[in-house]
Amino acid sequence: MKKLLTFAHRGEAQAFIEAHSFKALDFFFDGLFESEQYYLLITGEGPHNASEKTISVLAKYKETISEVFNIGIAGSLNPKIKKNELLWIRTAFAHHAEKLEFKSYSSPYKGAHHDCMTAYGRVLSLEERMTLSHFADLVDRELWAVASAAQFFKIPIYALKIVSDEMVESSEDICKFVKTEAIFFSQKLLAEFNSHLKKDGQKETLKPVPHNLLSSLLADSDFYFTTSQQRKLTSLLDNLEKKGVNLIQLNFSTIKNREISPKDRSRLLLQYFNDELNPMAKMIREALAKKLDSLDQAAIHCSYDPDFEQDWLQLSMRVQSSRDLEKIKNALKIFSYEDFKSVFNGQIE
Amino acid sequence: MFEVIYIENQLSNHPRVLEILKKFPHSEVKLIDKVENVFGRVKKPYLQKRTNLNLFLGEKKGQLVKLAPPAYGLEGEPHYYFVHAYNCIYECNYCYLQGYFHSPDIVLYLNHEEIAVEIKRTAELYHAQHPEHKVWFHAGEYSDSLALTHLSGELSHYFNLFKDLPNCNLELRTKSVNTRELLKETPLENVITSFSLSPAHRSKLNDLKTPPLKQRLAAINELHLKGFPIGIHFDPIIYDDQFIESYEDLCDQLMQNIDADSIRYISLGVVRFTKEVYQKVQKNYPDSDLLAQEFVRSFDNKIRYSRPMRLWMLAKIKQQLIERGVQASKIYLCMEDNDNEQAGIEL
Repeated sequence: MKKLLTFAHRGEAQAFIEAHSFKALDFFFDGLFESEQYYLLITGEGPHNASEKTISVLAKYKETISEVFNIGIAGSLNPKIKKNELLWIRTAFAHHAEKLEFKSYSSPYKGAHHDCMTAYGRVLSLEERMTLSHFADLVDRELWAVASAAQFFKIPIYALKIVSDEMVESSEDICKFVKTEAIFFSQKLLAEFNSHLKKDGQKETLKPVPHNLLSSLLADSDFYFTTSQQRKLTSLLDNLEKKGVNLIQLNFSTIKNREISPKDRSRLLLQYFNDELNPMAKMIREALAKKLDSLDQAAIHCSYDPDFEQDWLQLSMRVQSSRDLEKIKNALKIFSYEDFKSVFNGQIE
Repeated sequence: MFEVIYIENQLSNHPRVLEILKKFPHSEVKLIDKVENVFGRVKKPYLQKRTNLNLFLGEKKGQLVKLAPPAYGLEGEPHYYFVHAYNCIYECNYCYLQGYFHSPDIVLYLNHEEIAVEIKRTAELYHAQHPEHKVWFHAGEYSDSLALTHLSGELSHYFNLFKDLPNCNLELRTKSVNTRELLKETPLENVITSFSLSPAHRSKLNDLKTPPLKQRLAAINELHLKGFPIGIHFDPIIYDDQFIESYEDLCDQLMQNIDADSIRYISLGVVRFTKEVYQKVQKNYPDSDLLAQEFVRSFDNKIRYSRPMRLWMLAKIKQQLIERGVQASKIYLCMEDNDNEQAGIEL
């Protein structure tokens, strides 16, 4: 898996391009590069460019991309945040046509403590910066759009910004100054990015090893799980773990050894895991089975709300002789609907 | 504690604001026109409150007193709540606030005089039709009623108000043990401090950043001994393998701190979520055992345990309380409208 690094301008990406052997990729537009570990995308300035290009790249390469990074310069909205400071972004907001976009996107990086406002136009006046400062510490032109694309493809987003200009009135000239300093900014961004990867790598080794019961069951030829059963199995095992059940101690050898089809074994296994997870649901089912026993004996098929929320009971039966009919009549005579309903009202012991 | 304190312009010299600012000399201060211009305008992730919590000080406009939803409190009496704060310093992982305001920042409204006028007006209107009823007002629908009272300083306003409203009750609902401001007041029969309690281990797992059960029980004990009326909420009740034993323990511990006759009421409510909050809980607390149990969409579209399970749980706890001397008439089921009827038959 590779990381996708996004930059607005080539200047901000220079040091990264030089540090790795990036090759240009033949794509729908210029500005996409690939190295052994990374894709590097020059989005161009502004949220529209960033959004279109990031979505295109993710649509094509999503299977091979594990993380998205947005890296580049940003203006300060906080007098305490000074030029050349490097900041990891916690949450990205957006401001468009004097209105705030309600949606926001957050990075999973715990070391990120600053928020960034992505503006659809250049924010130069101090008054505008003051307004935006109520919501974020930095202002940029792309992050929110890149983060929105990453979120769409359910890929985590990380953002690293270097402060190019402080909380003062600026003019269009600021962009020229920023350009001349681009290589300096790029080198500082690269150094911070590398140090983050080093830290992140250390953390990776601390992650717990996921349980392998799921994979061993899916590979076991004694069982056959449909796609929806696989989802159910995954969720049951996850929830059992959350509940603190030691999965290794779950004993389902009797199910595994039963002389039935793999499909039926899977159904029983899911039921077993479900009962382990929800012993109350098992109790409720058993209590209902007791109340319906007389009907069951007369071969009356009973069904009820599987969520136990509504107390209806549906009966179906087949009559092939007068004897069958008598049996059913007798069973219905002794059956008490009120008793059945009492289970729905909590009398399950 | 607060990174930025936002203050509405007209309140910049308000004595309460100046006092709050004195307590947070390191917070950045920003003046704004209206709380609503900044608070909740963009979606701030709920868990950001852990590292970046802001405070808004403003004046509440619009509807200041609202009718509470059905099955909110003791049956047969009207219930209203008033809004003087948004959000909470605690982080209960089932809390509906994580899906409510789109921002975890704290808002304190300081126009208590206006809120008091509205409470009085609401009570008068109701009593004109039903003079025989007590009218309930609840503080803390969107916040904890005691946790920040040392900052917000509103308790004296409401004690003064309810002293003159003997046909009305005020409920202060809390998980806090911040009783310092409350203890400065003279207890009133119609101002009830109600504590939400869970078994100690569940409180540790779910009521994140709240005072532990022992401290809450000690606060109940102290307030009770000093004459403050006490209500209890066992809400939300969460099922686990120790459910019966842990509620036996909780009931025992409660009765060691206040006698059953002295408790004004006990409400029981099984954990429940709107669909949106359920999704938030999944997102914010993916490893919590809270969601390991099976939930269903219930009678009011809320996500709950199945009906037999929650009615069984409610009946068990009700029975435990009755065995310890609590009168059945003092126990009510909170937000379980449909279940109330069913439970009425079965319990």
